[in-house]
Amino acid sequence: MTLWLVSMAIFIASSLIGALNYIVTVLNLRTKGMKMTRLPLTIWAFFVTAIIGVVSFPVLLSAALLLVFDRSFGTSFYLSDIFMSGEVLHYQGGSPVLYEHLFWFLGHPEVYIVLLPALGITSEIISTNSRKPIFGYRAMIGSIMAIAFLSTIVWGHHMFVSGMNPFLGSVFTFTTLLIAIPSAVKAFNYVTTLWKGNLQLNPAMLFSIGLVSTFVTGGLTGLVLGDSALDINIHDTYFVVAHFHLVMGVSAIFGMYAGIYHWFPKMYGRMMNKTLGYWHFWITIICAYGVFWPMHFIGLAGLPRRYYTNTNFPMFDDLADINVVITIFALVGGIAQIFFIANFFISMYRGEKATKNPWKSNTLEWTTPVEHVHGNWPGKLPEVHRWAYDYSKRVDSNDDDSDYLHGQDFVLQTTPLLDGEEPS
Amino acid sequence: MSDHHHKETFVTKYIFSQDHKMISKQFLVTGMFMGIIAVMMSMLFRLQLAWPDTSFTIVEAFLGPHQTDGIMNPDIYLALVTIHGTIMVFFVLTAGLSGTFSNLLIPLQIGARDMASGFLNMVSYWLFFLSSIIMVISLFVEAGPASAGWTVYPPLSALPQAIPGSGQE
Amino acid sequence: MLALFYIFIGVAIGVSVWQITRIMNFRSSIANDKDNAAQGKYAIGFLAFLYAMMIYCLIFMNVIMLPESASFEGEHDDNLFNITFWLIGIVQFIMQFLIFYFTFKYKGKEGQKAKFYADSHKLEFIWTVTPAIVLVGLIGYGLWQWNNVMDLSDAEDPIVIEVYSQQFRWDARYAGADNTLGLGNVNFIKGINTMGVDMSDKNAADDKQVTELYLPKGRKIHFKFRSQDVLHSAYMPHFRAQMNCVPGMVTEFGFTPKYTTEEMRNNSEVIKKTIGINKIRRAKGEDPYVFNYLLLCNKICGASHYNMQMKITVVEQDEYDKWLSEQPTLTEVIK
Repeated sequence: MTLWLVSMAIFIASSLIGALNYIVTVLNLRTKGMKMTRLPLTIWAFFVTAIIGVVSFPVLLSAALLLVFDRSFGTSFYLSDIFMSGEVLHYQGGSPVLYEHLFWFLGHPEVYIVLLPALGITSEIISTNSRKPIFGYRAMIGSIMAIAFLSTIVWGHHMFVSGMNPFLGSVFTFTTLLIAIPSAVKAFNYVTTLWKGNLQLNPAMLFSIGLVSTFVTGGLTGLVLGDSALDINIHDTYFVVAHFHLVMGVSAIFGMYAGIYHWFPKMYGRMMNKTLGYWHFWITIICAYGVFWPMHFIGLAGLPRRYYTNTNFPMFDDLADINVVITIFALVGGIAQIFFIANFFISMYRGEKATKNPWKSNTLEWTTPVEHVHGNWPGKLPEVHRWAYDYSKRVDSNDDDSDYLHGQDFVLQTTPLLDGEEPS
Repeated sequence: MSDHHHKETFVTKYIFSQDHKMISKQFLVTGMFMGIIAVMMSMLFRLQLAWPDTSFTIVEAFLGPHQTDGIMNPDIYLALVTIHGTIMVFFVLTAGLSGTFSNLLIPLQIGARDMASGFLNMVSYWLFFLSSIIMVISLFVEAGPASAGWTVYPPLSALPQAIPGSGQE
Repeated sequence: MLALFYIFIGVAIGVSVWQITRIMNFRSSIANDKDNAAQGKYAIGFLAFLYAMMIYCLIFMNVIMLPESASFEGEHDDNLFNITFWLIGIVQFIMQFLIFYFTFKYKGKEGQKAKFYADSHKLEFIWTVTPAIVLVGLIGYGLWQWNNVMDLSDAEDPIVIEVYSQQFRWDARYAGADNTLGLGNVNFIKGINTMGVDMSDKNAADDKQVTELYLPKGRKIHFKFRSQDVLHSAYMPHFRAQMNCVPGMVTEFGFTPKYTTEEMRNNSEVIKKTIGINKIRRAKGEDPYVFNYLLLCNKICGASHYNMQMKITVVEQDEYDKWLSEQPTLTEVIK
């Protein structure tokens, strides 16, 4: 346990240093013409994530530090009135609920620290592969900022039955309701981006679409958990496990996979194999749903989490078969990740050599040479004239059949405006 | 900014690199490695949940002193779910996701030569690497790894008498 | 030792895969029309799988569910559940359909042009305000119900019971005729006084310590929870009740039982579930299951967290009075 705490303390230091670096870089090192409102949504997501991290990780550090004090120096921040191993322990005056508050003050923003980058990556990949701008760019930015702000005031929804004052429970239910709205807006915007697109169904795109699917599924069950009255009966059951795995585990992993498939050419100068990618995606998404959808039901049936075995409760005997199904999907899904690992390492050495801009994307990273250059661009830094989402921009914006304004279905951010073109 | 003509050794190019692209790949590979460990743990405890009375050689192989005849002990079950959660949330999905893509994409997509401080960026990665090593080492201490859930609520996590994994190591 | 063997197998497989791939073609990397068509079809296939799985589970897993609420306060919980589930269910089915159908319908084709559609204030307004209104309704009901459940101040003549948790058992203490519990604290634990009751407190004289709960139907039960060592959680799923037991604190929860254990045993949903369970138990040669209300621990508390339970029996008022009178008071037990 002490090693765990030490590891986490060092991890927090790492994250804080990283976050500070990201914030300073985004604010200060944008190239000429790169206004904040021309930034790709990935950057918005990473930037806001870093801010959340700076605000909330120190509180986890404090929680961990106080725990170290209680464990090693006999303090009583979290402990009081405990009788164990035949004696009353000396601790007086502390409360475990204090720890819960401190932990979840990070714990909730943490899940958005996990999720927002995945959502940012998805915005980028969906719009590139749909050959359409991301729908509602400003609303997306607004949603990211709303989610970030609100995430700092919802932590108590993990503590509805902790014994804290029920009035607090009401407050947190209300704020949790609020945070559902920007998340919903983002989901609707993704679906609208798909609508009437020219979808290039690369593995990265499939994972991004899969992310939208699992994000919606997991997010909706969050509405049940966020309602304090409903949480009473499902807190700490498998319903919670199913919810957070779908919305955070699977969605964020899909975002990670999507990002790897999409930016592998930029990282290693080669392409990943698409056939393995397709197999990887379909097996993974089928198994992901196969594991976590049935899990909702065993949670509703009252099965607590963190139980070593369920055989001590005859009333849970009829859940055993479902547990077997879940495990089988989990084993198959886990083993199927070999497709990805093999693809990743082999393509590093044997993948098709990448061109400069294989996905025909607008953003600046695709204007750098394939071979890594220290300082990214060999000559001058690029100059930006437009936002990142001029895909399929038309001569006549009201006529869907008119020709592309720049002769092709994408326009690099570095392309200057044509005479008469609206600036963005 | 950085001197374009400095000589790069193997160590400065691949190990103690200050280039954001290399650091992003370091985050990615470390995150993937930790992810493999966490996935294996999840497969072990899913085996336990589906077939609690069945002996598995793989359980015997990987859990050493914490199993009896191929069936895991109750406290190592709690340790497995704890470490699975900790690794996945922090080491894979925070460092492996944010660390990789923020490092790779921020300078490239905003048109910068590198991060504001390449040195701090490198320190950030090596601290992450160090914390990963320590987390893996914590699996092998005698009392067992942390076992109070990834949320490690006290008093369970504070008192060694409450569960072995909360021991002084 | 065996671990090394498995690792060796893993490495062997890895090396074989590596060698095999040397002769494989890794040249295809970007989706073309043929890929898009195939993936589009798979998207529809997956949608069918997803719908089938969701519907199958929603229908066929009904039998494993908890029966209707066994407490009066829980009725609104169940009502709210149903409304919420219908709402999110409809949204889920529509959204999943749109996601995968669009993937199929708009699959990429050479020469096809995407629509440049970057913004619509009207749409954004609609789908910001609509969820907001729906959620206000849901949460409004939820907060009213939360207050209903958690506010114990206006309870008429509740029965006060302390539920005491420790690694790894439950005990309970009835407040007796004065309906007031004597002070309890770990410092008073000594010998047979396992719950740490301050026997000098006159309220403690008529308290009764038990190892299983008997509750009278139709009376409000006011639970007070304590813990001896670590966090536990008193989870009584049939009554829609849960509250953490925190060392150093007294937490509270209350409900009014609606059905006696006998009545619940004759509930049609319980009968169906019991039949299902007993089929499984018979096949394993185990004793048949008879329905009982249960209190189980629902907060990770150590190695035997999975085996911490207390039986709850709900009976008519007169049977309850009789049972209670048979339990010894603390003054009788702790001399």
